[in-house]
Amino acid sequence: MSTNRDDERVLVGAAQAGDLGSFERLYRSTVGLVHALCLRMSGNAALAEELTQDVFVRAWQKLATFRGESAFATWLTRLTVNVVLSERRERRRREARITLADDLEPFAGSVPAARPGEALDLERAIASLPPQARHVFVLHDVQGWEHAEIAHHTGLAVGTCKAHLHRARRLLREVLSS
Amino acid sequence: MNCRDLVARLDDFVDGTLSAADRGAVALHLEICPSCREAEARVRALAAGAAMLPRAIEPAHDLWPDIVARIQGDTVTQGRFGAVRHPRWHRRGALAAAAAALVVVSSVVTTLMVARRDAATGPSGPGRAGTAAGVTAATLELSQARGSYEAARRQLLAVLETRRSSLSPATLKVLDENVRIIDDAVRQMEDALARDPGNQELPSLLVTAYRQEIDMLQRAAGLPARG
Amino acid sequence: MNRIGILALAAAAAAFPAVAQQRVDEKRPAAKDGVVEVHNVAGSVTVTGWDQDQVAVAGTLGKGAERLEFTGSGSRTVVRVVLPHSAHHVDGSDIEIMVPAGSGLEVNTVSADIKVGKVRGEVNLESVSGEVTVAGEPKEFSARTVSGDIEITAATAPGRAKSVSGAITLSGVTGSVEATSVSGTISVKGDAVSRIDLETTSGDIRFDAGLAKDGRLQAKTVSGSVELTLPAATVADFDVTTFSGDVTDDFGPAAKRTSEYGPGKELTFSTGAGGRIVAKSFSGNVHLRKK
Repeated sequence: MSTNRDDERVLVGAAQAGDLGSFERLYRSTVGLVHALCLRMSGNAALAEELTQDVFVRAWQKLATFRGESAFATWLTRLTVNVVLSERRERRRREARITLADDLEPFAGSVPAARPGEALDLERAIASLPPQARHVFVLHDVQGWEHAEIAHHTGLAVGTCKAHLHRARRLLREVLSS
Repeated sequence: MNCRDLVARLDDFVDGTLSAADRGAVALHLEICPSCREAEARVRALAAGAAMLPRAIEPAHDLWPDIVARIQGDTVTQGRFGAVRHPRWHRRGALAAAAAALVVVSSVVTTLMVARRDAATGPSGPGRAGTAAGVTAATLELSQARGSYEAARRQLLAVLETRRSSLSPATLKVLDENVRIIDDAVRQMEDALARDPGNQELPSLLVTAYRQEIDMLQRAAGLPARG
Repeated sequence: MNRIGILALAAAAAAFPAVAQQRVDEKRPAAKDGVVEVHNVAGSVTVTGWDQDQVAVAGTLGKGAERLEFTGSGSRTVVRVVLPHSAHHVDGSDIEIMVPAGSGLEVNTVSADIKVGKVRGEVNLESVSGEVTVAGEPKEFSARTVSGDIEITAATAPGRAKSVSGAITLSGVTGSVEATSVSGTISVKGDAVSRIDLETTSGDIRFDAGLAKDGRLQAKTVSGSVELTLPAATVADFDVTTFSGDVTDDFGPAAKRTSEYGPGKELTFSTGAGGRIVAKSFSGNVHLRKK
């Protein structure tokens, strides 16, 4: 996040003291990051918005535990991963979900400004991965996390994480080259 | 080491997490095996493509009112996902996701659209507060998008460097020339955009050039040996 | 020559099998609508569809080529010119392949030219510096090169052509087509283009064709020139913009300045509802001409 660290500290401090206006500014500067991660990890557009809301509600509740050792965005990213993974574990949503891959189909042909190209193909391919492979791929290759950190959050062994990454990359190469 | 051994170690090799001994063995095998080199290039290109995806994707509509309602109204405990929504919301979510999923570069476009709209409605526009540093969210996003493009470009150029010995001089010449052509084009358009930040067409042309460069470099990473 | 010399020669011959050119001529049964995959580094690959349920390969392996791999299960046939790993110089191999007309085709070469005709399946062609030529009516085509030229003729198929510096020529295409090049020229000729997207960085774009009813043409370049030559009776909404290039136009009114700060020009007008023609450039000139 490019928000100046000093300004960020002031905002976080004020938000911790209960100032919703400051929390809103933090929300405005980070919602894109949180939403992107929710979207890619869940592979589902509608769910991603719900999860994004959950993350900020949780962030507000847990703000006191943020000690400023890392950037606010880093803290929030970890929180996002936990929220997404616990939602999945709980499997609370039973309703049929529109998958991201399906959502993109009708849209892809109607964007005159920029044709989708490889990156849209990649997003679509990521959305079609099996959940665990998708989580590990997004965290490792998109977010740049280390396996140890992914293992810590997902509760998987490092070797299992690597196996998921291997599988994800293989599936993606297959999908993208077909 | 045979090809199967290599495939098992390729991810760690590409990620730089392989032991020194294994690293040597993999490098040695890659020297002699064109198909494994191709597999390596594809994994690198995939990782580079993933790394260049936009970091930030704005939701289709403002989620803040719902969040505030949940924070203030203590609705947090009543069902984590709130009430059933009108289907239209799903559609909007879908569009958001799709818009989001478009390349780095098209996020440049949408960002600039937002930036322009902000400029039009003025700084007091509701719900579009600048950050503490006085920078709008849109300009932050734009710089992030550029950062992603530049990171991917750097990574792919590094891959191209490692492939110099296996590509033909003629092909290298073409690739180098065309990298220069696109870089010149990008620089000129960036300059123009700096002079005329409200221009409606420049972002989409910039997008074209970004995409062409990444596309070309990805292709270069996957070219067969002797290419 | 002494005996040791002869033995040494024999050993060398064993290590590099094709010391001289080598003829090949083989056939295999194949499915009517299977996929034929072809790999040949240098030389040429010519693929033609025929009405027999077999794949036939004939041609000459270049000096230094190891062998021809010709395998398959019916639904997938592989033709590959195998080169020795250590070879520094291998002459090109010229191979002609007949395939069932309904076959899909995947051809990969480095410098070898690729020519395809009368194949009705999906056609995927990749070369680095070889020329790629497709005629006939494949179901769908994709042609990619770095420096090789691409020529697609008379395809009703949808498809895409992509090069870095190679010229792309599309003649008589009527399907939904995309062509992208960094510095190569893109030329389009035809009667009734239905949907076409052309994009370059510095390459010129020349479009000399008619637009089908409700057809769409989009041409986008950074610094190349865009020349659109259209029949006088073309019915479409026109949208032309350039940042610093010039616009000349035989159809509508003169271009207007659009930007407060930059030198941008924009020209929008309509000759009737239905079609849509969009041309955008950064510094390249845009010309609209009447045929």
